[in-house]
Amino acid sequence: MPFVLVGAFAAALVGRYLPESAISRWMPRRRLPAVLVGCLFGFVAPVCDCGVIPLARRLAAKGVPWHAVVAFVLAAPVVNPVVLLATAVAFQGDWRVVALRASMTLSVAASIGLLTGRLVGRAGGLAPALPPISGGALDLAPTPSARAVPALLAHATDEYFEVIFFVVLGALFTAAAQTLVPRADLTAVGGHPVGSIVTLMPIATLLSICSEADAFVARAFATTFSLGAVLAFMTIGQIVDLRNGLLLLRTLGVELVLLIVVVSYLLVFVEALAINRLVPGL
Amino acid sequence: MRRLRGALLVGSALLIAKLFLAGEMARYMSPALDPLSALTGVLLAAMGLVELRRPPAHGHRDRAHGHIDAADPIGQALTYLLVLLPLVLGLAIPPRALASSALGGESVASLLLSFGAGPAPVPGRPPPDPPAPLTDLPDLLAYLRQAGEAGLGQPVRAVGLVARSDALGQNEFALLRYTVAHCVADARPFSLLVVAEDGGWPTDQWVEVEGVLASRARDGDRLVAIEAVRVVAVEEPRNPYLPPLR
Repeated sequence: MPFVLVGAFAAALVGRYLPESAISRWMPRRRLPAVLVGCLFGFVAPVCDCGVIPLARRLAAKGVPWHAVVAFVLAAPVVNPVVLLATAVAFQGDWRVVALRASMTLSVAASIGLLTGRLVGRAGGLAPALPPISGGALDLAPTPSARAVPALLAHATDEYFEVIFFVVLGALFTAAAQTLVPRADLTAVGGHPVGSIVTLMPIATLLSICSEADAFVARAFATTFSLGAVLAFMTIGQIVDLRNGLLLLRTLGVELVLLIVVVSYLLVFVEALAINRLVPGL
Repeated sequence: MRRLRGALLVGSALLIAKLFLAGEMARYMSPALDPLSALTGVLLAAMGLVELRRPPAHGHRDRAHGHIDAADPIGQALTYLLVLLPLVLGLAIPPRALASSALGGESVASLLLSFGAGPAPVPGRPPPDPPAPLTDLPDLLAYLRQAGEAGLGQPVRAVGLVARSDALGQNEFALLRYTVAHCVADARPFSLLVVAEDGGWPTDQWVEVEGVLASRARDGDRLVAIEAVRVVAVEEPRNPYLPPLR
């Protein structure tokens, strides 16, 4: 809960005080640098996966190229200080897990971002039709300082109620799995280098846990499942999840979302398998 | 809806306050996170009070600001219900520490601590002295890491829950504890074999066992055991969980 609140307040701060004009001014025009900036932009705008799409739509509306927008959408929920710190806390300061998580997410985001650049740019390619964007908090006039704190709290409350549903649902799911599923069964699946990954990836998509909270759920799997599977859980869960699926479809279109689903599942699986072979477990 | 949201936030803050005042927070969260939990309560209360004072929302929420279509009444109702459920349960039902029912159908016998591979202790040699008397499981585990089977015969005291299994003998039970890194969602069980003349303690009874460190051969493993000279019922510890074992 504390980390969910941290995320809610960070998103509220970004929503209220980060001007989009500055964001689009800093964006490089060339594809590779733009994708890299998109990948790392979460450090400037530490939004969770719940808040990333509204911000991405605004970036696209301001003229930020789609390959950078897609890289931002896929990387920012994980590659930001709030989530990386939460991951470090969840895994008791094991920075190896933090580095592997960030690397997996960045590799997938950069790959799909570059693919998007190739496919969106060509004739008949995957050009998303940007849905209309209504005005919102980002367009509001600056709040007088006397009202700034209540306004921030109100904004954070909105963010909180957007994510808390999934946090409680994830907790219920975890509690049910830990109480009802015999641990020996989980251990049997979880110890297998391939089976553990194949099992945890769809669970991550189904659970759709917010990136600010998923490390704590993943930690519960860490003693049963392989390291690669736990990292795959934390990576794919922020890229392909049911919760944001509809919003992602509406923003990026069917073809682009299909590309994201297929490529990210394949890449994450291969990387997790490599981790299981090359990196010692937790 | 603003009032409902405000009430839910203030209620969540009150639940955190109640858990602290009743000394029950440790049944949910690691004491190491107490400052963060307290800060969470304060922030939730502040958010709730601001929400209660906000003017009512008209129409649907703006889409650019929100994440999911907040105008969806079913989604909103489900969200409020899911926040309300743990709130009501938390306020109405006194929390209980995890016990044998949380083992997820796993036999406690499969969780028994065993000695790792290593040289057998030299007969007749006394066990090395620990830096301090072994008064609970963390001390015992630290000692075992240092001494291994050479520590057999060392006096020890440990507190835990009585857990049973068909795989254990008449005069045996398992002393069950959970380790928690942050909250009960990451709780992991482990257990220690106790050999006692009076093994008839009810399941999930908190007991303090005094005895000496021993080992028992079982299915090719050498289990860590306590040969009890005294077993007494005790109250549940203030923090029923142990920090994660390394």
